[in-house]
Amino acid sequence: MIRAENLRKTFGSVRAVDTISFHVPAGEIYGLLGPNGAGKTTTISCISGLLRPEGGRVTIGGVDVAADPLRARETLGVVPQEIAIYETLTARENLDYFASLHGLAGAERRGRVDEALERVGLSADSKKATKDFSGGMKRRCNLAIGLVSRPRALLLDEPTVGIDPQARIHILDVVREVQREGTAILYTTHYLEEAESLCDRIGIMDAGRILAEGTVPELRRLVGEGTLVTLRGHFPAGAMQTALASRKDVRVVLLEDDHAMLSVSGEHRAASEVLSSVLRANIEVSGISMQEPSLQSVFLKLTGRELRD
Amino acid sequence: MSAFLAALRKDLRRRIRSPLAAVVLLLFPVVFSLLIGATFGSGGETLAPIKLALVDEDGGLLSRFVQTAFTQNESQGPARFDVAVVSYGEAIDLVESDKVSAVLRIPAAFTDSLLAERPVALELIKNPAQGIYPEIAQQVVEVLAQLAGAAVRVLGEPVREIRAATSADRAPSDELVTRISLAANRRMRGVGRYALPPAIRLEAAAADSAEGESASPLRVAVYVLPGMAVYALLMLALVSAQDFQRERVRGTMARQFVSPAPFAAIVLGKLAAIGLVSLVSVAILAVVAVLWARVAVSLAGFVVLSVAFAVAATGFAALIHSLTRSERSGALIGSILVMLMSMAGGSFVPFEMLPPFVRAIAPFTMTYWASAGYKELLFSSAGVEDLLPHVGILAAIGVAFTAFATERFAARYRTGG
Repeated sequence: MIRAENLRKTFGSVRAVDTISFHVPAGEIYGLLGPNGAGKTTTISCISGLLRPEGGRVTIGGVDVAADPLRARETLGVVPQEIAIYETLTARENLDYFASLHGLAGAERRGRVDEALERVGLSADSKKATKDFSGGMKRRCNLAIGLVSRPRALLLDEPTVGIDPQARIHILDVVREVQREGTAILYTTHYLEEAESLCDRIGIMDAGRILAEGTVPELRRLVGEGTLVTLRGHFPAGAMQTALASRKDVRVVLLEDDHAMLSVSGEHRAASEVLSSVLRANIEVSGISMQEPSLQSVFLKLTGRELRD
Repeated sequence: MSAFLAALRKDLRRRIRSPLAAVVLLLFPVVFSLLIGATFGSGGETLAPIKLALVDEDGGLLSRFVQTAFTQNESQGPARFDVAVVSYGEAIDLVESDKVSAVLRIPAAFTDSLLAERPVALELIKNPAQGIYPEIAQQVVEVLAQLAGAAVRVLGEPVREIRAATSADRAPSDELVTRISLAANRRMRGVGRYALPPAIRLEAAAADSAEGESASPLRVAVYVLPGMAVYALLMLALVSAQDFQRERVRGTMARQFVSPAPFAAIVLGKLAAIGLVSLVSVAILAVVAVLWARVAVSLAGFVVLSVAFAVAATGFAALIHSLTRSERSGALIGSILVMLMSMAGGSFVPFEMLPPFVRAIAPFTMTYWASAGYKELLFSSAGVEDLLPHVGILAAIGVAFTAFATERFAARYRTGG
């Protein structure tokens, strides 16, 4: 439904999107996970036709966005990261306006507006000016505008930023509901748990590139099946490999001057044996942590740094 | 078409819900024109009489002339005097008790000295506790001293003879009166070409006044109003067009552009809302102007000119905001340009009073064509055919600016700038 092929966009000397490709079929939520500045929003803007990419091709429902942007957008709904609503208008007036831009009119438009308001739980407040809404209500109104045309492809750009947990749960429930109806959803976020719990497939994005792509289990396997042991300290070149040469149950996932990530298979006791081996080799260790493989560890392995919320 | 109308309806609804800026900008030309009218019209308040203590230590012919000058011209000129002739001591007491604004002391032998053409000094003591009144008194006395000095130099001989005649015990003979008259007449003819022109100008001003054509505050205001209205409406368009920048920052503009509605329909719908607000504002100001001026104007001429001006103002405002990067820079650059155009186009100062080089560049500003058009409608009974050059130029400016601005907005969104 949503297909990007070798998409490329630069701003001056900055490659905001660097030759990325992915496909989101109908009824799937594809997550673009990455820190701020990774290129997620630029990707969304290129797919929606707002920005013109320097290279690559985007199709929505088989329609080339560059060749026929208006027809491609007929099936597209967009929920931007910022709360893009008119504050002096009511929720109903906001939805009504954007429904008109989708060519809806009369009873059909009123029906769609009612449906979208109902879906996000704003029916009772539909006649209030949105400037009087709470942050969570504004977010829900922002989402409702994207849904009012019943899109077959939906782009959601960090739709839960800055809201309370209850409102977040509500929005995620709505997104799952829309997915079940067969809508293809491209969902960008920098919240790991959100991506892990919501998305069918995830593309991990950094510096304009998709570094890895797959389902959550597939991505976890990138850092191994075993327990992840992260050591902090000072690790001279080659010292760690020498210390662990005899251990077949340990795989070095990441090794830098001041930290190392090891995948240790077997029981938890094995982790303490690994630490003993490292200390016996006179390697200075100032801290240790253990965790099961997660998207955080995958991101750390892929980028060398943590993805913080 | 439906997207255009939806965008227009949406922005009009938003304007109605936040009318403050439009109301303030609409009131501005009316209030400003009234202020200008009150300042430069003749119907303003006159000053209260200036209290003057006069100490006449001379008691002669010319000192009485000075007294008369202060007391007999109360109804003429902006400054009127309430004169009390007192002794020097009483005068000082009056100043110290803040009961007079100044003391004018005419020294002894004032008349003799003047007639003998010897230097003589009038002494003016100003009350330091009062503001402007003592200064006015000083100005008036200075003028009077110059007039008296000039009069004595010109008419010295006849005046000396009048004094001799009036101080004698018996009435002057017919021959003496005739001789003095002829001498005075000869002297006046000698200075006639200097003295008469001001007198003639004075009479002309009095004649105008008698016909009721004086510049009342309302008449001045209504003359100023078209130019001020043009300035205010350009500012209103500029303020309204700031919405392009606001919508860009808030993301609502981008959100509209990712809908299946054509880009141009959305932008033009927004511009139409700005133009319509300008048009309604023009209509309101026009009603005010017509009621003030009490003249019949060509309705068709007004509508055509106003539509053309609204298109021009909207195009200009859109152009400014399509070329600037932020709401603040757009407002700043736009305001400066509107101010300069208004100055050069005759919005603030009547076109006829502008320096020649400014008059030469005025036709290159839209403010000139708009102000001139409205003035011709109000004061020259112009019809549609008289306004065709104004309408054509304003419409052409508006269409060109709008097309360029729309293209700029599109390019900006395409490149993410």
